[in-house]
Amino acid sequence: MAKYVSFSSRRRRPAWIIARKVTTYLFLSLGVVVAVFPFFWMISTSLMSLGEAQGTRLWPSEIHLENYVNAWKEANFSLYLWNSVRITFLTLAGELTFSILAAYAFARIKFPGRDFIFTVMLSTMMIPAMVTIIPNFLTVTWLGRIGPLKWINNWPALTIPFMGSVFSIFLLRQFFAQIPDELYDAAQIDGAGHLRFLWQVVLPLSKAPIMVIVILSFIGTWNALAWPMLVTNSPDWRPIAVGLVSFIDEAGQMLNLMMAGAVIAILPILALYFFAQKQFTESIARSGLKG
Amino acid sequence: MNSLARSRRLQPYLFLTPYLMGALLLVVLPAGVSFVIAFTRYSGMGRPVFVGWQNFQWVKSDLLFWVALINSLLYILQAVPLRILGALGLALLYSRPGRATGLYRAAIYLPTVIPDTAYALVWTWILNPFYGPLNPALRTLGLPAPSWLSDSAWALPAIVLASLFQIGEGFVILLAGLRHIPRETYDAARVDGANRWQTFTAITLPLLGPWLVLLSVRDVVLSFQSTFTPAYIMTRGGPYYATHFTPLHIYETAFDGMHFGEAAAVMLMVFIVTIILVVILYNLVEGWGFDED
Repeated sequence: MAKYVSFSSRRRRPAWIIARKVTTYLFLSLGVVVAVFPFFWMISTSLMSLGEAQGTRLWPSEIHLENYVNAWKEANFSLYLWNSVRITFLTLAGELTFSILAAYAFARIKFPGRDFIFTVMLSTMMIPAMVTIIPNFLTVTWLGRIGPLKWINNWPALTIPFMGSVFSIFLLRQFFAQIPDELYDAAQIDGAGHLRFLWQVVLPLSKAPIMVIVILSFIGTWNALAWPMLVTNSPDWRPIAVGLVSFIDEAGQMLNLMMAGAVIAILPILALYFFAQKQFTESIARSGLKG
Repeated sequence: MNSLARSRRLQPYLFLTPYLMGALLLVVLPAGVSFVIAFTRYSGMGRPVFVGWQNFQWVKSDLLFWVALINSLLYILQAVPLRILGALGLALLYSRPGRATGLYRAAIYLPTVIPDTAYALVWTWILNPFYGPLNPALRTLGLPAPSWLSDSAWALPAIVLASLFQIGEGFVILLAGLRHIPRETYDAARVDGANRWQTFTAITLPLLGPWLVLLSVRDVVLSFQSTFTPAYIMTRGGPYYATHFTPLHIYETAFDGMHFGEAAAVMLMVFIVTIILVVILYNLVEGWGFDED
């Protein structure tokens, strides 16, 4: 039966094709609804009164925007957000400088030992962060004791360990390697060295991977919990995740305030994600695992 | 001229120096130090004292270590296959180009960018048997509504459940993998009279094989550490150690108890278990299109 219908002309869409299309879209939408539900629930609860938040309502009867004001004040979010921004910015500045230089060397310059160093570097990706957390902590305290720089409770402990990212180097290398050699030859004839070529030709062509690194670095800083808890003991440099955790402990059962706090904590990341969403998923897909 | 040539030759090493120094100081050296500390008694103060295999013996007889390891393995056994299957299913569902697919994909990826702390907090309350929205929904559907995080039988599955939403990376990577499969292959199969299931098992699955294997390996390695934040926020390892995972165990041993030697020994053992798991995984799927690499 179905076979006959599918042979009929395209203009007159048979009912079963339409039905199938509708079910497909229903399924697709269902997936989306499930995926964003936690997120939806977080926002709607953050707008409820405490009584409603502790009930089973899905949407507030009245919008309580003041939850955000209260959460902001009580959790000292202005300090924590500012800390997270500072940490991200410093990490990113170091990470981009180091990984761009290293990736360029791996991608564009032939030198003895290159492939060996690259392989060793890639294999350090298999060392879980868990294996290095204790010695890193000892290293950081030790560096703070012997050097002039204060590490614990200060920016170096929170940023410097994350400036060398294997993934960033790998990602950038894949992009740099695709740039045609002719461009470099032409630049060399014009008297440009590696640094000038990197700055004036390679970087302008690599906005997509750099954007990915920016977002991933943002997410990394916003995600980190164990390490910042370890190397800070006062709010001076504590990032938003640690701030949120101490707020949770204080807020007790104030579910609506907690959710408002969570929304505040994720808002910067969401803004960035929506802004660069397409570039982000495309680049992850293109370079996530393969080159 | 000669000096210019020499500086050109040195340049790549100069470019690499900052990264290599950092990696040496903060990845390679610490990994080595971990290895050494595991054979010492060290509390962060004074000098580490060499104690041979003592820490490993202590760890071996520590019941909590085994609880943590078994919990982590149980978590991996449930979460990794489900996460990979979920990502594959979603990738298949959303791979066809059509209206609003970009929007759909962005929505599927959304939970993955939400910071773990906030995400764990939201799930703590979604799963709350009194205030959360999940149990009323389950009851409406006539399904059992356990008390999740406060029930030692359900706490671990609850954390697995929450992890199933953050599969954006696998989803996006498998979408790209699907796009790599040439249309003609499918057309040829259809001409030969293959049905949907046959095309899936004979073409899609084998061609996606390498991607699936890499994703699984990565997920196993990451799953050993990604349980820290959810366990710390949602349950603090409870109830009755039902969600006491290895990262939490290491963290508490090292930084609450200041037993760095024992903690390093635990790390080494977990590291070895990870390697064994990865090797088993590779052997299980041997011949799954790994000839390309």
